[in-house]
Amino acid sequence: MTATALVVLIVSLAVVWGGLAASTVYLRRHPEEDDGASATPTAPIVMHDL
Amino acid sequence: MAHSPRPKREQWSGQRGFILAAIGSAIGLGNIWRFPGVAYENGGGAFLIPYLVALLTAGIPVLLFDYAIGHRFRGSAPTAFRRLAKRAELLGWFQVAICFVIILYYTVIIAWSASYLGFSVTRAWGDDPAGFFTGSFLQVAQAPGVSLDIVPGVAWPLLLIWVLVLAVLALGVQKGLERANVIGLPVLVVLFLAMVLRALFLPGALDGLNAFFTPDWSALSDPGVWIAAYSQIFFSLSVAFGIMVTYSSYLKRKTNLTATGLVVGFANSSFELLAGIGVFAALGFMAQQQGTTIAELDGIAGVSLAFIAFPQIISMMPGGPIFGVLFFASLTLAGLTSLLSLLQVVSAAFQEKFGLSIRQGAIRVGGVAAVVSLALFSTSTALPVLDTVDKYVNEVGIVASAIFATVLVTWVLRRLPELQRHLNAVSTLQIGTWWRWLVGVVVPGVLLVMFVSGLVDLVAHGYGDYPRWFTNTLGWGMLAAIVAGAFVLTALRWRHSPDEFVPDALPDVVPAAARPPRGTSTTPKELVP
Repeated sequence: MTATALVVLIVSLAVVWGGLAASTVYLRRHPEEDDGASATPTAPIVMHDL
Repeated sequence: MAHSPRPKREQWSGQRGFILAAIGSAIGLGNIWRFPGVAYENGGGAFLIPYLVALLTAGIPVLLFDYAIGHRFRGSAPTAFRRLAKRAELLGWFQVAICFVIILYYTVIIAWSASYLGFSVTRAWGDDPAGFFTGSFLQVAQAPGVSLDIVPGVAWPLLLIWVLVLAVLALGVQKGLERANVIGLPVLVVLFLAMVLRALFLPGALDGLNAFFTPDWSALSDPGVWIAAYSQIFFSLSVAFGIMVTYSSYLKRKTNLTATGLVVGFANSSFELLAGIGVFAALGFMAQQQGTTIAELDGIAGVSLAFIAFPQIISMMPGGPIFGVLFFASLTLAGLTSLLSLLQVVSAAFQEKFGLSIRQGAIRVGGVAAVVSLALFSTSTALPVLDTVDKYVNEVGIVASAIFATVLVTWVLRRLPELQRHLNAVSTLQIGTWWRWLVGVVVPGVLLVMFVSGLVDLVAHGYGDYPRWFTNTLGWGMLAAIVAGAFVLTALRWRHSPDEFVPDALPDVVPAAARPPRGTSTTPKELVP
């Protein structure tokens, strides 16, 4: 492989797979919270006609 | 009006189940057979720059837009859009009708792939994969048209695929869809990785990677390359035609939506990049065996890549049958998990509007789809019909659906701030006003350019070498049928009114009763865009 192609390969893998790894790690550190407080409806829905 | 009690809404078992199902939906045939060819033809390595820009400025923002609508209004596309605004139900049914049509031919391609999984073992195509595919296997008719000559070799596998997917669909969201994806997606990744690794060790593989990754920087100044990047991201992520709205409606209330969107978006692109490496390593090998270069190879995308080029590669290499099984098993699995998501869009919409049970929705809606699919696509004219329908439904139907959805919510209903607040209220990763600018301005702008350029081309030149009567009937005719179907389904009566639903209260939101009457101005800052 040429050096340019190799660099592009490495950089793209680092960005895309790195993005996947980073977002997965973030989600693991901030897991879903318990279902609860937010489920209490307080405001009636307003139907908007077009 | 009195209503019989409706069953409790289904739910994913948790975020993990949803993420796997959403990734399973996003990773489909296009990741394997569309991305590598598109990237290669649009600047090679340089294409990855517009591609990543498109992912971050359009793909993930629209994914979050779909999530917000489905999660906030907790319904299939027609229900969720109706809860946004009564008349927007039509847009929901438009998306459902698009999914229905895609299902009809998507299933057939999966059936072909499953057949080729078997053919790989004996290399049944002999030394003429192209002749075998269109001749012995599909028995393609001489002239394009709509024939009713059933090809048994296609019809039986197609029937089996239908039985399989309807059985999964009838088991419901958690026991059916989630379980299929929790098992299917990891298996797909392992099989595909094995295929890519094998391809990398073939002679000529590095030449293939060279061709794929060598950047042509001049491509960056070509607007066509940028449009290609946005199209690839847009079609690959399964956004804007009801899938992600439906899937996110089964999520628990408190879900980290924005971070989940990032994981799904990057996972889809990660797989796509892997596919680019695997496919071009294999094509490099093929070019070397034929004493030619990648640039001179024909048919390196779509149906011809999978069913003509890959069989050639399988025939040329030592251990070809194993490689073939890995490739076609991956293609079949990738297709199946996407097909399930398309089916759920249609089934859920009918369940909600007509008060059907999960099983009734799956069997009745799926049953009709199966019969139409078998009648139209197990015949000798399947290939030109699906090629044409796919082109028009994607480039006109889905793009129009996305433009309508983003423009409607941003500029007509002006509810984007509400969706942003919803995303932020349930997620730890907060999104700013930039998201509204992307969804409200950048995305519809880019899509409009795609839409107009695609439309002008189709109107002026038709599609491919097909006669005009054929593309008019199956291309434009199918789109007209989709629109008509959407109007009819919108007009029918709901079994249980969906309008009493109350979405979650949002922090710092003005209670509805205290809002100024329609027509008077509200907080101007919120309306931009």
